[in-house]
Amino acid sequence: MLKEIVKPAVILFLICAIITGTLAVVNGITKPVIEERERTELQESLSSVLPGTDEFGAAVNRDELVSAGYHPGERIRNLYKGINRGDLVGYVVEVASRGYGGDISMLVGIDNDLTVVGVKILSHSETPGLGSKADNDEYLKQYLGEIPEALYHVVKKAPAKDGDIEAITSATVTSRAIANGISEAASLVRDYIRGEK
Amino acid sequence: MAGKPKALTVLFNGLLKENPTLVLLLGMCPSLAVTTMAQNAIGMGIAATFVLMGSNVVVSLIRKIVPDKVRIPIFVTVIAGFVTIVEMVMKAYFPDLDKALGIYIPLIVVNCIILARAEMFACKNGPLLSALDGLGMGLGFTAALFVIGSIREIIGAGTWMGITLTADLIDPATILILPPGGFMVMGCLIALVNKLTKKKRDQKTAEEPEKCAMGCPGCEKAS
Amino acid sequence: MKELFAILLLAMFIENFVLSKFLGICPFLGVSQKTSTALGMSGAVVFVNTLASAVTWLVNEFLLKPYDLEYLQTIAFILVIAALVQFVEIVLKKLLPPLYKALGIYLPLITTNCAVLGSALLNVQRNYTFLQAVFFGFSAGLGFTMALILFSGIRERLETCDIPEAFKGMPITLIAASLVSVAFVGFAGLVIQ
Repeated sequence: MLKEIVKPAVILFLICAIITGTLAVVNGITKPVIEERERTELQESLSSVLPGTDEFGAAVNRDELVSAGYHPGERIRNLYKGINRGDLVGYVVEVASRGYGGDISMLVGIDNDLTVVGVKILSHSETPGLGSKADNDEYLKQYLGEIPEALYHVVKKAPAKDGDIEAITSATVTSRAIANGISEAASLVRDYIRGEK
Repeated sequence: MAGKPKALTVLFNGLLKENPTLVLLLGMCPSLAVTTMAQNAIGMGIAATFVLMGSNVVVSLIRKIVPDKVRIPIFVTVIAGFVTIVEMVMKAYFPDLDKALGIYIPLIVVNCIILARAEMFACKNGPLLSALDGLGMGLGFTAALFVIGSIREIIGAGTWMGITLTADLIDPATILILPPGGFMVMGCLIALVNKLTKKKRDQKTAEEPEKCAMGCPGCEKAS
Repeated sequence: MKELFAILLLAMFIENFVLSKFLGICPFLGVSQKTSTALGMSGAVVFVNTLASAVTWLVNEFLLKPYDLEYLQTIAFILVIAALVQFVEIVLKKLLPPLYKALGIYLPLITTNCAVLGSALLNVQRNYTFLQAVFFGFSAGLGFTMALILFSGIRERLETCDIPEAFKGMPITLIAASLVSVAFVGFAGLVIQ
C-alpha cells in the first residue's frame, strides 16, 4: 500500500523537479534578453514622439503624480521627462484610452512650448479594417501643433475651429477614444509646465 | 496503431489522413482564435509542432518508468514545461508574434492534440517514431491553420502574409477576420474535406463523422 | 459594486469566452447536442472556474510572485487546476452525492477545458484583485453557460433539418455557431466607464 503511493509520488516529484530546473536555466538565458529588448523598445518609442532628446527620465506613474498634487485624468499611465544635453526639452505622456475593442495605448510627445510634436499608438485591439484605420499618420497628424485651449473634440464634419478633429468614417468610437486620451495628456503637461496643481 | 508503423507512414499520417484539425477535429480553440492572419497561423503552428515533438520524445523516453496512476499529471507537466520554454523564447526573440498570439501560447498546454498524441502514440512507441509522429501531426496542424489563416486574411483583410493584395479595388469582407468568420471558414473547410473523403468513408462505417465530432471531448475523457 | 457589474458584462457579453475569445470550444461543440447535458456541463464549468480563479490567484500572489517564479505560471496553474478538479470530485462524491450525480461525469473533462486556464491567465494579465478575479471567473463561467444553452437549443432544431450531405455533423454546427457569434460581435462596442 505504502509502496503504491510513495513510488508514483517520488517519480512525479522527480520529473517536476527536472522540468523546473530546465525552465530555470532557460529563464536565466531569456530574461535578460527580454528586459533589454523592452528597454530599447521603450526608448525608441519615446524618442520617436519627442525627437531631439538623448535621454529620458524615469517613468512617473499616475499615483506619484496624484501624490505630488496634480490632477491627472483617468487615462494617464506614465509621464517621462525628455532631456537633451542636460536640458529639459519636453515631456512624453503614456495614456491608455478605452476604445471599441479594448485599451488603446499611446504615447504623446509635448515640448516646452506646449506644442504636440508626436503621437504614436503603441497597441490597440480595435476591429481590423474599421477602428484600426485610426492608426494612421493622416489622422494622427491632426493633433500636432500647439495645444488648443479647449483641448480636442471629435467632429463628424470638416474641422471648423481650433481643437476640432475630423473623425474617421466608421471609426467614431476609436477616434473619440484617441482624442480623449490625447486631451488628458495635453492637459496634464499644461498643468505640469504651468505648475498648476 | 497495430503492428509496427513505418517511419514515413507515421509522418504522413498526421499531414493528411489523420489531419488533427480538419479530420480528427482536435485543438479547435487555437485553430479558430489565431487564424486571423496567415503569419500568426504559421507562428502558432510552429510553436505547437515544437511542443508536440518535444513532449512526444520525452514521454516516449520515460514511458517505462512512469507509473500508470500518475501518467496524466506527468504528461501534462512535461507538456507545460515545453510550452513555457516556447513562451520564453518567443518573448525574447519574436516579440511581435508573442504580442499577436497572446494567451493562446500558454493555452497550448490544454490543446487536446498534444495530450492525445502522448496518450495514443508516444507512450507506446520509441522516441524516433514518436518524434516523427509529433512532426507529422504538428505539420498537419500548421498546414490546416495556414489554409484557414490565408482564406480569412485574403478575403477578410485583402492582404496575405502582410502583403496587400487587393489594395483599394475591393472592400475586404471584414467579418471573416472577426470571430464569426473563424467558425464559418472552419465549417466550410471541414465540409469540403468531408466531401473529398466521402468515398473512402462510405467503405468504412457511416457512423464515423459523428464519432469524429466527439473526438475532442473523447480525448478529454482520457484525463 | 459598479466595477463588479462591469466585469460581469465584460465576461458574459463583450468578451464571451466561447463566441468571441474561442475558449472552451471543445466542450461547446461536444456537449451542446442536448440542453440537459449542456446544463450539466455548464454547472460544472461555473463551479470549477470560480474556484480555480480563486486558487490560482492565491498561488500566483503568495507563491510565485514573492519568489520571482512567475515564469512557472503555466505549469503551476495547470497542475493546480488538475488537482482541484480531482479534489472537487472527491469532496462532492462524499458530501453532496446529488450534485455529484448531476455534474460528476463532466468534471474530468474540465481539466483540459481552455476556459479555466484561460481565465486564470487573464486574471493575472489584467492585474485583477482577488475579488475581481473570483468574480471574473464566475462571470466567464456564466458566459459559457449562456452560449452553451443558447446553442444547444439551436442544435436540437438542426437535427430535424435537411442539410447537404457534406455539411452534416460538425460543419453545419460550426456555421450555426458562426451565426450566433455574429450576434455577440454587436456587444463589442459597449464602452463601460
